[in-house]
Amino acid sequence: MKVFNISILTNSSPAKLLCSEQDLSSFGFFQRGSVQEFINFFSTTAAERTQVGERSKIEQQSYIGYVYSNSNGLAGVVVTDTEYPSRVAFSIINKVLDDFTLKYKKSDWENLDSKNRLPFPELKTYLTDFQDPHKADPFMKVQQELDETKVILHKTMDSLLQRGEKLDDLVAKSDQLSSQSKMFYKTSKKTNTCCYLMVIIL
Amino acid sequence: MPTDRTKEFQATIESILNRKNVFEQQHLLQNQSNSPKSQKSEFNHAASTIGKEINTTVAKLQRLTQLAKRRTMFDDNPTEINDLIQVVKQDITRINQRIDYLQMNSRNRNNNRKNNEENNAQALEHSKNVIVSLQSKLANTSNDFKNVLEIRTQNMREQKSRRDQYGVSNLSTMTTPDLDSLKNNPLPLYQSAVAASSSINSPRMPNATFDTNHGTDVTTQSNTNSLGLGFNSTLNRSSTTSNTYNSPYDGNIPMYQPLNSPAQTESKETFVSIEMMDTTPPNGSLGLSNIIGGEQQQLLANPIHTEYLESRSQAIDSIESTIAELGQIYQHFAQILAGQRETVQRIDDNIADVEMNVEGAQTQLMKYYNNISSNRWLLLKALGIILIFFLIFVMFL
Repeated sequence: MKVFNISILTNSSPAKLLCSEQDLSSFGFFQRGSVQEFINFFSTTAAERTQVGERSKIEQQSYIGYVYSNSNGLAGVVVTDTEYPSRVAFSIINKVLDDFTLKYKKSDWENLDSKNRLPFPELKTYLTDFQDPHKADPFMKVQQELDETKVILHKTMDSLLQRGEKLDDLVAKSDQLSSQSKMFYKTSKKTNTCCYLMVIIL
Repeated sequence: MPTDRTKEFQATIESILNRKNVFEQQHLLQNQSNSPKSQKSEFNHAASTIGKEINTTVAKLQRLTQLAKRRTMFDDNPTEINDLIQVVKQDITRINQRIDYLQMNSRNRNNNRKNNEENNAQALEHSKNVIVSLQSKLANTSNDFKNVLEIRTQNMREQKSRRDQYGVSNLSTMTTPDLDSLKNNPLPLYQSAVAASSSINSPRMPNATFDTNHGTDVTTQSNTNSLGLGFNSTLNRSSTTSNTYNSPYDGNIPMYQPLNSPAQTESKETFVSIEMMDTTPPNGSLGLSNIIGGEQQQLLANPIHTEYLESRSQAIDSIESTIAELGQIYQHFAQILAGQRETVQRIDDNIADVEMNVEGAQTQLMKYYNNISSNRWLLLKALGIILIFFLIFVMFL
């Protein structure tokens, strides 16, 4: 499951590319140029044609592109392969757009020249991190942790039941011990009586 | 007729604030020296800007409360409210980041300067106090924000019910089944979310992102381990999509197989009515998202959108059930443990008995030993008497 591209554009026509990061390492060296062009074209077209607050998912042969446009006039585009879960892709877009809005105000990118890009280094770290959808999606993270906790709890339950068995063993043994020691005491008490002494003498 | 120019007004406010901040940043850059005085004033500048921003955010929040409290059915403009909510949210997160940055800065600075100054302790404490007060102000603001959002959701709910009573349009009457389910099942996740978020609202306000665009909950990026389910401000659909919903993709681009183009060909109303029946989600918090006015239901007509929302609600449901399971397991655990405690006590008693018995036996044996060792002369005397009797018997025979 790979994420090929994350980009942020303006939701206008013509859409301006504000920043984007790509990871095309899985393609052959000569394919990369054409794939990159295709991705750029796709991002700009999708961003131009998406309305505010709208999400869409566009499938091509082996890639899927997810688009979502913000109410601030930004649009996020994520291109992944077919396996990547769509909800995680949309949550990537949300997160990236929110961070971008925090970092740059609207006036920063509204009148930007179409050639300039706004530096956004976190995007690169996000791209490398989100290759694993479990890291990207908070739901999946939480679910994973909960599952791990459940496994640990099951193991603990098992050991607890074993402890219970051992404790039962211990109870039986201590019962035996106590009865035997009682017999011991009684016998030794009897030894102390006179008739036994007489028997010894005789 | 007066036009609504609040957006312009807000835009001008933002631009003025930006200009002011840029100006002050430049001023700070020029004064960049390592002398403690200029650094202190830098800190003060930054703190004062943060304070001013907090004040503006508070003002915006007050306007927001005013808007949200209005209870007329047709007069409120959801777009303005939603825009305000967005802006306030962004401001809060930005201020929070700045406060964190400032705190880190002041700590680094004081670590670097420790060997120089004797009166560093007071400056350190002063900066700490300033930061704490800023953080507490921010926490109060965010608390108020949360309350405003709650009020707003309640109002939307009431509005919807009132609107249904008058049966305004086809679209709105279609959503009555959601309202019943809402009344019976009032947003359990939302209530738990409020409880969770109130625990998060310490003065060390973590980087909570209230994702208000999607109508469901979202986790925070906070350091706390709680789930931090966000707020149910689904009403923040600031989309002002027009009532006509044009297909974004024409036939010019044959490469794409867009999944929402077939939606456009059907008639809007029937399609939407079918969609509304299908998209009554089990999760109560999503049901609130269906309450929004007519034009925003067009958004839900987007199948990808509904799929996304449904997958989110599914994920949340599974998380909730897992947590419930975990809770059950823990309870089971506690039961078994309590039973085992009793067993352990029995063992303890048994061992105490054993100790008592063995000690008693030991004393008996000691007594016996003493008797044995001291009885020899008695034995000899007894033997002597028997021998004498034996002799007497033999004599008489």
